[in-house]
Amino acid sequence: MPTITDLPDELLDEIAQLLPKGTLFSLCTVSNRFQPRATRWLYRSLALAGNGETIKICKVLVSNKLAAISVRKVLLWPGLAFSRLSLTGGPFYLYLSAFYKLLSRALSCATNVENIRLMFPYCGASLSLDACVFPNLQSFATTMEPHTLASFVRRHPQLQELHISPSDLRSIPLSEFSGISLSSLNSVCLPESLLFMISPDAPLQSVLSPEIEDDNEDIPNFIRHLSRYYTTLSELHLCRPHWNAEVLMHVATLLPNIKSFTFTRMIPGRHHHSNLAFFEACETALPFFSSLSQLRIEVARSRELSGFTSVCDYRCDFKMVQIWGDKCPTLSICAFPTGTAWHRIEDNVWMPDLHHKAAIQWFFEAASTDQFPIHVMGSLQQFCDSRGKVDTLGLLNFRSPTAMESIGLYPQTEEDESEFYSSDSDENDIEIDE
Amino acid sequence: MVHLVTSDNVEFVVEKEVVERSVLIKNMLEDVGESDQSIPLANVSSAVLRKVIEYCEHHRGEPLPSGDADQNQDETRKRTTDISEWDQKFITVDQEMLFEIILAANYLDIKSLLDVGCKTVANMIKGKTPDEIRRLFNIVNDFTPEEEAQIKKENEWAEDR
Repeated sequence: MPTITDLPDELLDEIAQLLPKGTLFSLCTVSNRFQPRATRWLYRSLALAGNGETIKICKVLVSNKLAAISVRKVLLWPGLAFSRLSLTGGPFYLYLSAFYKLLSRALSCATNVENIRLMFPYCGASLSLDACVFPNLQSFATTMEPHTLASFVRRHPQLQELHISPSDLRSIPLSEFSGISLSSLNSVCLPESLLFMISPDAPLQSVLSPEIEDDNEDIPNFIRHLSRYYTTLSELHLCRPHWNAEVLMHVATLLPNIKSFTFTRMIPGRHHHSNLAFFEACETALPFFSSLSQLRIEVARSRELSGFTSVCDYRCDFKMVQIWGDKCPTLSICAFPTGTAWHRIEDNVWMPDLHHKAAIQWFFEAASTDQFPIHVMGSLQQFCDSRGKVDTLGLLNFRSPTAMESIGLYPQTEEDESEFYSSDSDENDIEIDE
Repeated sequence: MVHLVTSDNVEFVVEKEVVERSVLIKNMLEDVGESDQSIPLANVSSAVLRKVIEYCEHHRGEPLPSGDADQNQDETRKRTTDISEWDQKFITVDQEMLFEIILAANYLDIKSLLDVGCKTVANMIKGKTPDEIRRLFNIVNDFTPEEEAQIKKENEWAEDR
């Protein structure tokens, strides 16, 4: 008669990894058998955000070996108080240095860590990494001003993922990095001046350019530098304040294996003249891409523009995506600055994400008035049937008589005609609540 | 057809396509080739095998998880405890049978069934206090009160408040 204690450790692990933090806490004190199983998963992935909590966890890592060696992933994100740029004395300074000493001791115990993310700018965090060597570290990301960063990177030549995105390029002591050559990197986020760290034979697949106010002239150099990894490089995300038509052509011709290309720089508002020029440049460059499957064009720093709400003109986007799809036959997903992604569902037939009511309305209207290139009413019928009477997407608010007649969802009444949906209303996108 | 003999000496004759959801048996058949010889399953009783076959029959034809999916298990595997409606009904059994099924799925190497079993146990444990967990599974608390207090203190950051 088996009970839960007859399960081998590896099965208890399978179960424990499905449990939330609070339940793992309970499981720790159930019995000797369960304590190590629960501890393993409780400390596997640590998000050190609150200062009080961080100190508690660090103390455990220093005193409890099992907890320490269970750690695989660390996200450090201390509160604002820890992000002071320069402190040289006073009680708070003493507190801070004690904090970083503890952090340093805790991290040096976590010998199996594979992934570290330091999401704050204070250099104290780098001090706390001074003594650490992590033989299994694969991924390291930081936004801090890197003072001891160079020696840290030098100690970890096995890194597969390296993201360094300082807020100020000039803070990087370039000379300290000289001679570093990382040959296992497959994903990076590095400013141009640090690209040399990627060994020429690294299997580089993914590049994100950090958002730095650099010189427009540097972008072609950035792309040219990346072209030495053209056989493996398939994903590129440029996050730049500038652009020129040359950039797009460089990417298209120098990086022929790019499958996914994201460009974050657009100014909100589709009809802004610089956006229109950019769209034109895209159209010109598209035929030169040979394996591009995803193209995303995003609005830069949209969070800073509080008054900005994205308004989508589906009819216009639909026209454009068809032209682009025609110019670039490999393209299968195309996302426009409004946030709507279009998916190629057939030859050159594109469908938008139906996350917004406006998209659904556009799609129904186009489908029911034969403006959509293929016949989809049958599928729509199925869709509506499967939804039954629960109208979670608000489809029933849209009442084009022809659409409803052919779907057979509603018997047509006179009342329906008064609420005829007009596509010219250019409705604001509304997020549908889950 | 494949012949299986359980620990209590009951013979089952099952379609190859159904029984091959067990990676253990699939590999055995590949090694030995087709034969009328029955395969002895010393760790599985007839009551449990009947349940396992019911599961395999319902899920026949579905793609088997590939080997390399395991590698990145940690990151890619969805940490969800959702169970489909049919599986939910299937796994509504007494505790003893539940653990029998989990052990059998582990032995026979049927990943999807093992997942259903583990998720079910996880759902039973979720949100419970140590005492409730002990009572649920008849577990003896072998900590001294001091040890228990020490562990509790150490992990208090994780406690749900």
